[in-house]
This record gives sequence, structure tokens and C-alpha cells, in this order.
Amino acid sequence: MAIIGTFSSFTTARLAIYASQASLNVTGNNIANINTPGYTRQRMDLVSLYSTGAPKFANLYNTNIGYGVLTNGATQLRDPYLDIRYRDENCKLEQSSEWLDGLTQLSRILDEVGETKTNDGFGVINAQLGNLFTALQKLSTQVSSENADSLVRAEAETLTKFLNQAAEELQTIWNGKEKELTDSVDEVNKLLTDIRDLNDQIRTQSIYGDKALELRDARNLALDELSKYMNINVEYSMERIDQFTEVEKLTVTIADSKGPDGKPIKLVDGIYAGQISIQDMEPVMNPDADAMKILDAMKKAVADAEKADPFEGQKWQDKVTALKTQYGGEAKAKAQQEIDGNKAYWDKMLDTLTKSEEKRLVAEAIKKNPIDPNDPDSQAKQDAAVAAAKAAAPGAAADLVKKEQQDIIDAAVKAAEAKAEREVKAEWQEAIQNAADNSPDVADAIKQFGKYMKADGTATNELYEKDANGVIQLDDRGKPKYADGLKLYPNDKYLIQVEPLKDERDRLMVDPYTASKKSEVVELGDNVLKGKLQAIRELLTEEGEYASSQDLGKTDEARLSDDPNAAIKRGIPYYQKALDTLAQQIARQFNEMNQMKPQDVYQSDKSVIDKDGNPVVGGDPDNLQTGESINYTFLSSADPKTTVQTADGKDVTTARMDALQKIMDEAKKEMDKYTVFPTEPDYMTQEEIAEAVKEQQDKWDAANAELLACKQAIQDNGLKDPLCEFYDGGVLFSNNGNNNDPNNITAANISIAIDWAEGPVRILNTKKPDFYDENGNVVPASSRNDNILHMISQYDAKLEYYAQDIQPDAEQPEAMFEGNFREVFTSISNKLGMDQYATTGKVETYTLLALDQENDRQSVSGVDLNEEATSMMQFSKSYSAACKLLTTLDSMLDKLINGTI
Amino acid sequence: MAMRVTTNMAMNLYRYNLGNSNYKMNNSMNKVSTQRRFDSFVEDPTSAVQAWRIRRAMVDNANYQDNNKDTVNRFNVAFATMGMVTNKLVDEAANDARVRGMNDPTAGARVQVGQVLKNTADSVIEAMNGAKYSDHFIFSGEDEMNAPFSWDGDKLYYRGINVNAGSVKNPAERPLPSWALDDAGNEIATGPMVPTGMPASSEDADEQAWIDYYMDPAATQPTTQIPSWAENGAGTGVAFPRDDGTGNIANNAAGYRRSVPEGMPAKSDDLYEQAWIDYYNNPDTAIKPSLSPNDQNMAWGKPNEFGVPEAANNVTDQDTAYNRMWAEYYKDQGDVKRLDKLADEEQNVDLGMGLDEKNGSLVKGSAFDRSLPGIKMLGYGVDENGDPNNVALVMKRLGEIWESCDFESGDYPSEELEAEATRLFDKLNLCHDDCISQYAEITTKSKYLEENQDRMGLQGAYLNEDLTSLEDIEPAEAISNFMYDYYCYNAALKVGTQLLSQSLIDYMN
Repeated sequence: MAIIGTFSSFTTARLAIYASQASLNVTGNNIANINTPGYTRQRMDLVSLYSTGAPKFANLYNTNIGYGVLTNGATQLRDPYLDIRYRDENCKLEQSSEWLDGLTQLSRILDEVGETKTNDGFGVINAQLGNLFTALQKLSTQVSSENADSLVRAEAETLTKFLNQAAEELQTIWNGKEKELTDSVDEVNKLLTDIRDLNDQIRTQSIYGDKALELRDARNLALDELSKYMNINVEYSMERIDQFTEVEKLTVTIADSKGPDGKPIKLVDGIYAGQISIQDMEPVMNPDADAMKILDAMKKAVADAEKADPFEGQKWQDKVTALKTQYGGEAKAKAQQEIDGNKAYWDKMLDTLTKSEEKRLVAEAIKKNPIDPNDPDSQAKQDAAVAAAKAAAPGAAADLVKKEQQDIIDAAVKAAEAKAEREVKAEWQEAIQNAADNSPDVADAIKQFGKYMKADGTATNELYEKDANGVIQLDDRGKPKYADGLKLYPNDKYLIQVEPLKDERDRLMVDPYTASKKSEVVELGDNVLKGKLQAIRELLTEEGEYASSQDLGKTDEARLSDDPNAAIKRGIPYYQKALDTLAQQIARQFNEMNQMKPQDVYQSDKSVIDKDGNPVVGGDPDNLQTGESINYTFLSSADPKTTVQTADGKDVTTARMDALQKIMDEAKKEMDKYTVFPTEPDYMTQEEIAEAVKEQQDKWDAANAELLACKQAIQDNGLKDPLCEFYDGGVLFSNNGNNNDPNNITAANISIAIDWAEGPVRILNTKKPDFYDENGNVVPASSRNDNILHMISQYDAKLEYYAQDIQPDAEQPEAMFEGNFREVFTSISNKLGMDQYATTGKVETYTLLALDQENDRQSVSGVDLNEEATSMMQFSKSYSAACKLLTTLDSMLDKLINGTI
Repeated sequence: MAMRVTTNMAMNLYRYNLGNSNYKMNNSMNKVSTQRRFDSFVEDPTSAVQAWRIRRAMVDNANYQDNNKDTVNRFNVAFATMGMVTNKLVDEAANDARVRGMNDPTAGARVQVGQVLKNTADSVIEAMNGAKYSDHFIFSGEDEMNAPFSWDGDKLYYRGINVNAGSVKNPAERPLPSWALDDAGNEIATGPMVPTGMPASSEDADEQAWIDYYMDPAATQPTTQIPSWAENGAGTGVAFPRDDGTGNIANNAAGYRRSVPEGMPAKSDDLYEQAWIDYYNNPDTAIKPSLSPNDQNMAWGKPNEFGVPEAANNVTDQDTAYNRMWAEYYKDQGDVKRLDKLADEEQNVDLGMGLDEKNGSLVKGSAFDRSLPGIKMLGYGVDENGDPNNVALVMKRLGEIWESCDFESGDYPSEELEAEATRLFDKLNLCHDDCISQYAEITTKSKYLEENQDRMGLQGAYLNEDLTSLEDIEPAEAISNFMYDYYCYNAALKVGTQLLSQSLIDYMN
């Protein structure tokens, strides 16, 4: 069609007006959303309306002219590759920002540089360490001065308070970060749910033909947000809805991850999304795990089963035959029934075919019997042939119909038989699979090469308990329930897991190939994640030099939390423990310096014992043999010939006290196995662990009580060596202001021992024994300061600090710090400063990179006011022009209609 | 086509750059207002570590200066006191003694000089006891809360120990009593048991034969008439049996007595002589005084750290002269060792000499020993003549001797006393010299302390300078930096106002 109708030009003008208006609307929308987060600029796609196809009889004078313009819909301008790059940088930026945030919070406590408001730049703890030193110096020059002694105590007390306060603030930061982790997990889960819901909505709208641009913007925004928390990879693919329809599907995976199936771990798969969570326990991994070996065993078991029970065998072929017969008969009958039920159709077909056959046969007859002008009979012959053809037509048509019907029946039977064979084959395959599944070889392979370790030392692939349909079961708290017999430890590394992918109605994802429900929980290893989540996890758990060999993955037992680089990552626990190390060292040094051993202070008899504590007959205390040691038996002040006894009537000896101390040490070590860094036991429930810990705690308590009783008995009844009458030393620092217990001192609990606070214990100025004049009177020595000098010297001595002092199972055997108390505190701050320095650099770099990437994205997808203003002018002009066209056409018609008559 | 620069891209960049400019300006402003180059480790980790090192050194330096001042003050008191003792009291006393005491023409003044000397001795001790810094006695060694010296009669004690220790002579080295020596100067052996009435000798040859018979176990019994003193019972004609040394005749047997050296007194106040008397009287049970309990393997117990055996402390006035004598000697020797110990006492102070310990003991020279034990200043113990080494005791004793001289003539009561006075006079001069050398040592140490104070002060100033150069800003540089950053920020603001207002839309009608 080439000639435009008279009024069609109006349509052209109208379409032009529509197109300009629509484009102006899009421009308006772009301008309106210029500040909308995540908005992608849109463009109206305009296409020219044009009649296609060549006319059969073209007018020589016709000119092909288009019919105007069509609006083909608005589209977005976006580059997915830029999204990937932006999200990658965003993830790194958030990870380092989170680290920097944590370190900055720590530095407010531990970095005392520039604390100009207090102590003229000498800091708080730093200054206090100096003040205590100054007080000791003062005391060394004024030994007997009550004031100088009190000053030392006051300065020491202030120091303990500052350390307590710092420890408390560190714990507050830790608590805050732990809360942030749970909040972040919630936020991630909300984002995953949002993305899933948006996927669902976009999918629905796509099926209806809508592009759902705003929903895509919202989804991109959610993905950007998600990329802050973890390293994600976003993929777009097409999902077939039916034979004619495909819609886009979005999949989100954890970048650079590998799930149990060897593929990236999925977080969102179209309308399915997982949730992340933090489990209570951590499984022990099988270091020999090898999925391929299990697969090989499975393949071999399948082959064996196939060989033992082939499909071609009699049993299955009989089944096939029987089912074919059954299905074939049924299909035949059904087809026949359908044919019979459509009589009208077939009659009509017969009628039509009869006519067409008649036509064909008649034509054939005419062709075969042409009229020969020279043969006068030819007409008759032809007529006869035509008549015969007409007579044969119904029969031929009937044959054709019958054949058609038979073809239908045959096709139905064939399909039914194929179905029968398929069904039997499926049944056979299941039987083979079952046989393979139950094959002892496969079971052995799983026991050897499975992923997780069981308490009995074998391996398994099943972390969670599943029902018959393979769906993971939940426990009372709604969390996945661990399979029986697994070897598990408390998840103190805050490992994260991805729960099974579900749709909005909580239905598990169905595998498109096997049609089975996919119900897998994926445990994420220590270094799988990046981004904010990982940074918070690391801040919460990393201990730097305090990392145990288990943390570093150097033991035989493989765990998800193993991290070969754990020793160089310093999170909050590192700084807590470093401060504990300092507090403990201060307490230990001062407590040791301010005490004399009971055998030095109290008179005692000496006897020789062997390494098992048995008396050595004829042993010489002045000439000990290998393995022998001296056992001091304390003498009673009431009667020096009897030894000191505790209330239970047992003699107090150093051997007994040493044995009690040993029991306490061992109980502590046992407790640590369950609590600090669980190396023990095999799988135990929380209750069992609590019970085991309590048992050891009871042992410790009992031994401690007995040891205290021994000490008390010596103090109450022991015969004090007159040479040590001066002795008024004792524990200076304790783990609680209400006692004198010097054990387990940390920065959080370090206190002035109650006896020092209340008076009985004072700074021990000397450890030199007294001496007497010829009349047995003590020669007074009120101002000896040898022990205070020792304290001063020790205060400035380069001591070694070991991670194992605080963390018995720490891997690093070498000293982590070497220096005096003040230097070590500076070292802690300095390490923090250096970490902060490096992290600040990272944040600055990633900020710029992320900004660059964001700008690159904006360059493609952002709205530009100049551009939109230009568009505005452009579409305004085109609108005016279209209107002008309309009025021109109108005047033309007016001339034609009204001016020509 | 060039890269699109969209409105928001420009805004993003602007926001970032504006933020940076603001941050920089803020930093510069902080530096100007706090006068510090950095306010946290992260700003300048290397300088921060260095600054802390300097600050620690400053704290230490302040402590050393305080300790040094305290020590200087003590030494000032010590210097003044020893100056007075040495240059005034002892010097004047020595002069007085030389001019008036030892000079025969003025011998009449000896009694007065003696009195002056005794008073001066008291003054010296009072001066030493009065030397205090705040409530600390500076000449008390390790017992600064108590006065160092005390008098008990004529005995001077330092922290309860006799300053004159060593005056008790070793009994094993003392000469025997003259009566215990024979004509050849040899020790007389102990005698046998003889009849109570037997004379030491007789002119009657027969009687002498009987005397010889009882004195010599090898002699044969005389056949002559038994002297009456040898007759066992009245008129029985039987002689006392002779002591054959087998212990047949007990020491206290009736009618017998021990034969002792001629001239031996019945008893003596001198424990040593009494011990010999006891020995001659009971040679079987008494121990020879010249043999120490140790030589005799007697169970006096382990000696304590001062060498005094355990049993020496249990000896009472009721004990034998031998025990009392040796106990007295051991105790006196113990006191000598005690005095040695007290004189060697140290009072160490950390004055920044690198306080250090090795194997649990202080490394010598790493701390300053500020102790000034009074006995080291004034002397203690006795010399080989038994004369005191302590200047106050020398004066006291010399004073006593001169006080006992004749009031008019100044004559000594005895030659021994005169000899002693001569020795003591020489000793006084020697002690004076010792005091001077102790005084000189205090002076030297005071000088060192003053120098140390200067050194520490200088070191403190250097540290302060180092800290200032490390932590404090250079005002001109900081202010110009701030001005530059301020301009940058303002420029950025200006750019912002332009950027925000301008687009094509602004020019559209």
C-alpha cells in the first residue's frame, strides 16, 4: 500500500505529537529522578512506522512514504560490567572502612599520642606507668616514710583502675561489634529477601511484557548495598517459561567461592534466595575429603549394579513388554474412542475428501481420456471414465480417512509404548541408584573421603539431619539440626553459613534436572567472605600472635575456621590479650618481688624426697642427687618439734603444696580445652561440655581451698624464722579488690590486693635477713631499700612477654614483646597505629577507586541536566512541528474541500 | 564521543574533593591550634614512637633529678656535720692535747684537758646523732629512723653494737700467768694428788724424800719415818697411798689436795687467770684455757654468720671461767664482724647511672651509694695494741687518763698509763687524719652529685628540645600550610556554588 489516504497524514501528525510528548515525559521523569538513589536514566525508543512488503502490482508513480513514528517503550541505559567493578571495589572499601572503624575505636583507648588535655601530653596509662615509677623512686629515698609508701599504693591503684577502664572499654567495643555483626546478618538477610522478591516481581512483569525498569533500579540498589557486606557476583541469564517465552533470571553468588558441588555458592537464584546465619557449632573437616573419589566409587557401584541387573535382562524386558502391552492397548482404545467420538469431524473430512478425490480422479480420467477430434468415440470414452471416476471417489476417500485414523492410533500406541519403556527404565535406574547408594564400597568411600569428621573418626557428607525427601530438619530453635555423631566445636569464630534457597512461600528450590528439592546448608570457611561481614568477624576473632596452632590450621584436625594468616591479623581480642599480658606481667613481677617463699620466711625441717615425692632414706639435703629435691616441713610456733598441720590434721609441706598447685594447673589446662580453644572432646552437647567444665572447676576449687588452708595454717601456726621477722611482704596485686588471689589476673580484673589496701601488706623494702647483736636483739635496719631498688630495676628491665602466658595454646613460642612495662604499652599502641596507618591508606585508595567506578557508572547511567535540557528543547520543538503539521494539513484540506467547490 | 560527565558525577567528585579540602583545612587548623605536629600514632607512627621514648626518658630524668637533689641535700648536712667534727671538734681537741696535754711544762693542765677531751668526745657523738635530713638520721647507715650512736657508761654503741669490739684478746694467744711458768719460762705441768698437809719442800732430807715420793710416780717409797702429814690416820704407821695417775685417787678424796704451781692465787677476777687456776686445780675435768673449744672438739654448735658458736650465747655467769672467757671472746669477735658489716652497708639510689642487676644483685656502679655509716666516719674496733680506733673513744680514754693525773704536777698515776696516753695521743692524730679523709670523700661525692645534677639538668633540657622539635609545629610553616588549605577550601566552595547553579536549564526561556 503506497498511497496514503487523505486523512492518514493526520495520523502521522498525531503519532509525532504522541512521540514528542512521550519523550518529553521521559525527560521529565529523568529530571525528576535525578537525585533518586539507584535511578538509571531512561530513554524513549522511537521507531519509524513504515509499511513493509513489496506490492504485487506497484504503481509506477507511487512513492513509499512512512506513516509517522511509534513509541516503542522506554529503556534503561546501564552497563552490567561497570556494576561488577563497582561492587567489587565497594566490597573492598567497606571491608577496610569497617576495619578502620574498629581500629579507630581501639585507638581512642590505646593511642595516647596527643592526649594534651591530660598530663601535658604524657597520656593516661603511659603517664600512670611513669607515676608509679616515680613513686617507687621516691620511696627508695625515703624508705620508712609512710607517705612515700602510701603514694606507691595510690599510684598502683590508679594504674589498675586505668587498666580496668581500658579493658572495659575494649570489651564495650567488642560487644558493639558483635551486635553489629548480628545486625549486619539481619541486614544481609533482608537484602537477600528484597532481591528475591524483586526478582519475583520483575519476572512476573516481564512475562506480561513490562520492562519493570524501576524495579530493576531498586534491585540494583539492593545489590549495591549487599556488595558492602560481602563479595558478590551477579549473573543474568534467560529462564524459559514456555515454548515461546523467556524471561531474565538473576543469580547472586559469593564471588570466588566454591560450594560442595564445586560451583560458586548461591545466595539468590531467581525467585529463590538463601539466608545467612551464624551457627552454634563448627564442624571438623576431613583433611582427606575428596568428592571425586566418592564419585568414582559411585560410578563403579552403578556400573557394577548395571552389570548385575542389566536393563536388557529378562526381568526388565518382561516388564517393558507387559507395560507396553498395557499402555499400547489403553492408548489404542483411547484413540479409537476419540475417533469414534468425533464422527462429525470424520464425516466432514470424508465429504471433503470425497469431493477432492472426485476432482482428482475426474481430472485424471479426463487426462487419460482426452477428446480426440478424429475419434468420435473419444467423448463417450471420456464420459465413461469420468463416470467411473466419480463412482470410485467415495471409496478412495474412505480409504484415505481410514488410513488417517490408523496413523493416529499407531502414533498413540507408539507413544504409549515409549512411555512404558521410559517408566520401566526410570524404575530400573532408581533400582540401580539404590543398589549403588547402598553399596558398601560407596559407604567406605564416604567414610574415608567424606567432607566432615564424625566422633568415631570416620567421615560423612551429611552435616545436617535430613528426612526421607532429603529436606534438612530443624531443631527446637528453628535452626538446622546437626546429624548424629558429628565432631563439633563451639563456633567461636563466628563462621557464617548459607541456608537452603527458598521462595517467598518458603518452598525449597527444585533442581530442574533431578526434580529433587535442594536442601543444602553451605558452611562458609574462614576466608570465603570479604566485605563488611568479614571485617567484623575478623575484628571480633583475630588474635594475631595469640593465634593457636589450631587457628593457623597446623594441627591434624582441619576446621573451617583454619586460617594460615591468622597470626598477622589483629582484631579486638589481640589488643585485649595484649593488655592482659601487660597487666599480668606487672602483677606477677610485683607480686614476686614483694614476697618471699614460705620456706624462706618460716622455719622448717628439711628432708630429701625423690621425684615422686617419696622420702629418700639417707638423703642428704646439702648434697642432692639427680631427681632428688628438698621437702620443707614447716615447724609450729606452739611447739617447734611438731610440724604445722591443717584443720584436717595433715602436715603442711612444700611437697604437698606443690602437688596441690599441680592439680590446679592441670584442671585449668583441662578447662581450657573446653573453653578457651576447644581441642577436646569429640562431639559433645553444650550440657555435656558444661558438665565436664564443672568437674574440672570443682577439682580446681577443692585444690585451691586446700592450698589456701595450707598457707593460712603456716601463717597462723608456723614458726616464723626470727631472721625474717621484718617480713611484711605479700601479694600486691590480685584478681579482685576483695581478695589476695594473684591467679588469672587480666587487665579487666587487676586490683590492689585487699591486704595491701587495708594495711597488713606493705611494699617489702628489703629481702635481706635481719641480724642480732650479742644480746640477741635485732640490729635495727629501718631504711634498707635493696628490694625497692630491685623493683625500680625490674620496672625498667627489658622483660620478655610471651603469648603463651595468656593463651596457653598460642602457636608462637618466641617473645612477642621485649621491653619494660612502659615500652610494652607503647609497643601495643604502636602496633595499633601501624595497622591503622596501613588501613587508612587502603580506605583512601578504595574510596577513590569506588568513586571512580561509581563515576564510570554514572557516566553511562546517570542523568545529566544539560542533556535533559537539550532533550527538552528538542522534543518541545518536535512537538511544535508536529502541531504545525496538523494545522498545515488542516488548511490543505480546507482548501481542497472548501476552496475548490 | 568523550566520556559523559553527568550532573551527579560532577557532584560526587565535588563532594569528595570538598570533603578532602575541608579535612585538610581542619587538620592544618588543628595543628595551628594545638601546636602539635601529630595527634595520634596513625598520623606519624615513627615520630610517635620516638616521642614516647623521649617522654619516658624525661620522666626518668625528672626522677633522677629529684633523687639527686634529695641526695645532695643529705650530703650537704653530712658535709656540714663532718666539717664541724673534723675541723673544729677533733682538730681543736688534737691541738689542745698536743699543746697542753703532751707538753710536760704544761702538764699541770692535763686534768682540765682530760675533761675537755671527754666533753669533746660527747660533742662529736652528739653532732653525728644530730645530723638529720627531714626525719632521717644520715649517719645511721641502713637504719635512718634511729640515731646511730648511744653511750652506755663509757661504752659507745653503734646501732646496739659495741664500737670498741675487738678489745677482748684471744685466750689462745695470751701469755700464761707468771706463776704458771717455771724458771726456764716453760708452762708448769699439772701436779699429782698429794696429802693435804704436804709442804712444797723441806730441808729435812727424809721429809724431802717423802715429798719427792708423792710428787714423782717413778720414785720409790722411802723407808724413813713417815712424816706426820703423810700418815694415813693417827698413829697407824701407814702412809697415804701415792697418786699413780690412774685416777685411783679422786680429786676430792679426803686427806688429799692437788699439787699446784707455787704462787698460784686461790682465785682471780681475770677470767683468763681464773681459767688457769681452775685448770691446775682440776686438770682432769678443766680444759686448758689456751685451747679453744673448737680445738677440743667441744659441742658448742655451728657458728653463726658472725662466727659465734651457738653455745656461746647460752653461757651464763654461773659457767666456768673457761666457758665465759671463750664466749666473751667469740661474742666480741662477732661484734667486730657485725661492725664490718655495718660499715660496709650500702644505701643505693638510682641517679641515672644505668641501674642494673646481674644474677639478682645490683651491678656495682650502676647506682649511687649514698650511705654514710657513722662508724665508717669515726672509726671502729681496736688496733693491735688494743687501743680504740674510734676518735670519740680515743678522746674519751685519753681524757680519762689525763683526768686521773695529778692535779698539780700532772704526773701519771702509773707508767703503763703514761705509755697508753702516749699511744692514744698518736692515735688521736691518726683518727683525725681518718676523719679528714672521710670528710674529703664526702666532699668528692658532693661534687659528683652537683655535677650529676648539672648533667641531668642539661640532659632534661636536651630531651625537652628533642621533644619540641619532634612534636611541636614550626609556627610559620603550620600557619602558611593552614592558609593554603584555607584558600583551597574557599576555592572549592566557590567552585561548588558555580557548579550547583549552572546548567543549560538556567539559560532556557
